[in-house]
Amino acid sequence: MKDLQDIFLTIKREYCSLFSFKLYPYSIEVITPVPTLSSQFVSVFITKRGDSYVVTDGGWISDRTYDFELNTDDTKILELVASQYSEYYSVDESLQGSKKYYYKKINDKLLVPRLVFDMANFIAGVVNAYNIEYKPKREIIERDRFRSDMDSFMKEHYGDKFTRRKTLTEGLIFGGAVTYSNRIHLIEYVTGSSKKYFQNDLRKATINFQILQKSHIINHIGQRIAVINDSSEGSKVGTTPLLMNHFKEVLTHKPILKSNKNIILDLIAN
Amino acid sequence: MSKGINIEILDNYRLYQQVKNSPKVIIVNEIVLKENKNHMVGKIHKSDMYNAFSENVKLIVTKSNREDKKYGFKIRCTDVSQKPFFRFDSAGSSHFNRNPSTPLALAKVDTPHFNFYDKDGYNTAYQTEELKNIDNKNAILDDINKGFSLFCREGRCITDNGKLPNIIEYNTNLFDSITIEDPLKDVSFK
Repeated sequence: MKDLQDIFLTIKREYCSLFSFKLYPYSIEVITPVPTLSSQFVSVFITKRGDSYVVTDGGWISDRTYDFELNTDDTKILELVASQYSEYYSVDESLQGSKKYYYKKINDKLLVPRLVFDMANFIAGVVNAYNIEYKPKREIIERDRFRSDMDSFMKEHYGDKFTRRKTLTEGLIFGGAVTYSNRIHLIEYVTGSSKKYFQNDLRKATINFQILQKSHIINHIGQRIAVINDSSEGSKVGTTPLLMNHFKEVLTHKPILKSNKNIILDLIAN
Repeated sequence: MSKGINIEILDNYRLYQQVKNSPKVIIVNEIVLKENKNHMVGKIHKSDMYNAFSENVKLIVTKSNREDKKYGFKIRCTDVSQKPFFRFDSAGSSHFNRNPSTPLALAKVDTPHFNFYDKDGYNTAYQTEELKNIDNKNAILDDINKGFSLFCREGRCITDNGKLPNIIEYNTNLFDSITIEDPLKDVSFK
């Protein structure tokens, strides 16, 4: 038993040794042993305002001191997650310019550790929610691989004329673009590990090109091409003829299969 | 999310080692920081670097608008990984070295610190002797150019003439250029 008790003492010692602090003129940063999925330790800042103690994240969630990749599709979910954490931990917000400070406030000095405990767990909860990918792993890997294969293919043939993830007017983002002698040739990538993800991609690409057709920059657009990842599960299940016909209408050439991607070289001069 | 391991680094480990350990030549004469239009509240500079093993090496310099002592340097090579493979952060959160062979008490590395990827693909932070010495550390935090010189030595960044470019801030907003020593100064909590 002595051995096991020693283990407990080591655990307690090592856990506690993770606490450290940094002093500033009017505040202290407490670095807590609470970790995030971004492999960082949560810091909380404590300062005094009048008679009360303020415990805050120091604006670190808002200025992205904690790393996370924002998947734009998920912003609504993330807002929901953050607001539920705020509610559970009774956290307030203060906006200073573009930076948001999450904080809790109390007069009783003895209760400051409670606030630090809550605040640290609140920060970890929100940061971790931001770090979770809300898609199956297979979908993420397949999508990344397809995109990176296509990007290297385009880069190899078009060099600097190729831009990956091209943002155009009205915030329209296309898979890639080749800018060549004053004309922009656009490419959309369509993939999906299931019927649902594949059809979503197809719909998104269709709408992107549709909006573009109504925009003033349409005169500068050359080819409107789509490449379908024919090794993806979603493409094998197929889609409805209505959706596919509609999709074809917004393109300047019928959809190109990834296994046949060399066709692009005939459509866009390099 | 997969155990905090960077798979790209493991896939391209040989190239990663080559780019990391070989000289990377800074090609700009001065580093001008401009407002970052993306998500970061602060200024940014990006420029290409010349390297014998990859044509896609970039130097990235960032600096906070509110806190003068909060800045960072990164080297990214997209042939190796979409994420920077080497970086320095003057301030900000402490890093958790996730390699399971690290004892818990040694797993936390406070800022300022360097980050690289270890042989198992774990993002790993460390402090050099300069950063452990309090006087040296404060001198580095006070002067971004001092920090840059340390970063270049540690990350093998050089220039053709042996002189490192100065870091210059380009201020578009008068209010953003005010130096605030305390991270919470002037922040109101109703």
